Amino acid sequence: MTKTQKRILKFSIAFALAFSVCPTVSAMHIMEGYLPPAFCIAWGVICVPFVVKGFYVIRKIITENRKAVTVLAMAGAYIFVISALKIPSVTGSCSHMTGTGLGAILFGSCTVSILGMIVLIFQAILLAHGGLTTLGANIFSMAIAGPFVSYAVYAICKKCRMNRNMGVFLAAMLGDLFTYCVTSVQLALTYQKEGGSVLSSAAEFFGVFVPTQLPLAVVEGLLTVMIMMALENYAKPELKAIGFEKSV
Amino acid sequence: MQIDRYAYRSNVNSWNAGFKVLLSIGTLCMVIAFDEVMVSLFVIMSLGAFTLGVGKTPVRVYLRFMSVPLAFMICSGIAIAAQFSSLPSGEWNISAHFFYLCLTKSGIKLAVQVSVKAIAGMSAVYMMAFSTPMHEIIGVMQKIRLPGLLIELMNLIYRYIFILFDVAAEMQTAARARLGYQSFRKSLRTFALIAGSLFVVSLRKANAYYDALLSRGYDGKIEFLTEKKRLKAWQAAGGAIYFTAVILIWRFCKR
Repeated sequence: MTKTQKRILKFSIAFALAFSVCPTVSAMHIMEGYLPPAFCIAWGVICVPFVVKGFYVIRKIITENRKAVTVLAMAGAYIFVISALKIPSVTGSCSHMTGTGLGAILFGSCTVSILGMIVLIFQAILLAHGGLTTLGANIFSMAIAGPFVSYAVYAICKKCRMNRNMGVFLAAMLGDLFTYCVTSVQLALTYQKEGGSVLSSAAEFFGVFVPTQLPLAVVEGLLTVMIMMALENYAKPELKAIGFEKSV
Repeated sequence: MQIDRYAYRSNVNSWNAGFKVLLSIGTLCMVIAFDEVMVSLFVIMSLGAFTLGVGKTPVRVYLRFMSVPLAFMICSGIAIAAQFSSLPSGEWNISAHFFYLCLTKSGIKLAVQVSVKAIAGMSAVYMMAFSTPMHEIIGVMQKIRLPGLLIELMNLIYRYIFILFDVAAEMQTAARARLGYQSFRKSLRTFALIAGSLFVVSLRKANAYYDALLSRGYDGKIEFLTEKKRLKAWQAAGGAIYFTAVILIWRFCKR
């Protein structure tokens, strides 16, 4: 390569980078310092009953079947790794799954609230996603609200005898979107405009994140369906082992 | 994920873990509770200098970690500073035909304040993360009497994360070698296949690890040992002085 060619290449790389800087890196975790103390505590308190319920569910599972301890830990690690892997997206920006929909469908919403809490702590400390003071708010949106909606949607779709894949898609996508509605509301409650209502502020936060999050939610839904299909083909015995087939 | 490696290498690694956690969480709480720009700036600079100067964390790495939530900061900064309305009501108005994007001075001030506070909070957390390996942080949680089951799960999950990451990286390399990421559709399929087989692998490994636990006498409780690190008097004094300094700055700026 000649010098000019190299220069052109470098320039084009810089150009490409400038236009594909990651705009959607986990925009759903509320960052450290964004919530005042009262809100940090309030969201934490709201999470307590769910987390306690999840804790008892997990403890029951483990006392009944000791082998579950490694399986549960692996499930938690799995959720973490899935949410840390870059998912393909059209613009070349990097983005991540929340993994909450998948987790809720596979392991049930109560279990996911505990595993999600641990995953969120790790994400806050290891990956700079989210924060320790905003842990309560993030647990509520990502480990409680999202999974519960996913699980409910999935259950309803099953009741209605809807196509299984459609149900999984809706569950994952709506769970994702709902997570992110909750995040918008959480931010809006904190940063209410003078003269504006909570709703209008929430709409504003929603509007700012929509262009990145809506396609992401669709991609997450698609991916969850494809993962579930892959699991049904390859992992029937494993799915049975975690009690998934029973519930279907 | 390499943050653990830097934590082990840090010069501050030999300090008492509980002390570092207390220092970090204490500073974090003060930053959030005081909500004062000067306090935040002081914390950003002092803790940044501490992590880089005393801990000897590479600057490049530190900056990379600090810039992770940049996107969130920009997006929500806009949402905090701007207001959509049908009338040009702010100091600066950007017309978007159907509505105006109004920027007000107070809104921009608030956005800047919040961003500075967020960066300060992050430097407090990263002071801890860049100097204390995760299992020591979990050890501190054990000391404050979090339920044993939770601690056990956290320790195991933390270990398994690395195992799964390795497996996932191998799978990605294999997929790339077979042109698995040629197009958007293909990369979606590849991602799903990887996630699926990762699930299978993880559960198989979970079985193997359970056997390994049993053969080492597992009876429902896993004990993790941690190194004992004593808190030195001058470190405790330094921490106390630091807290006082932060409080003094706050008192001073409030007036």
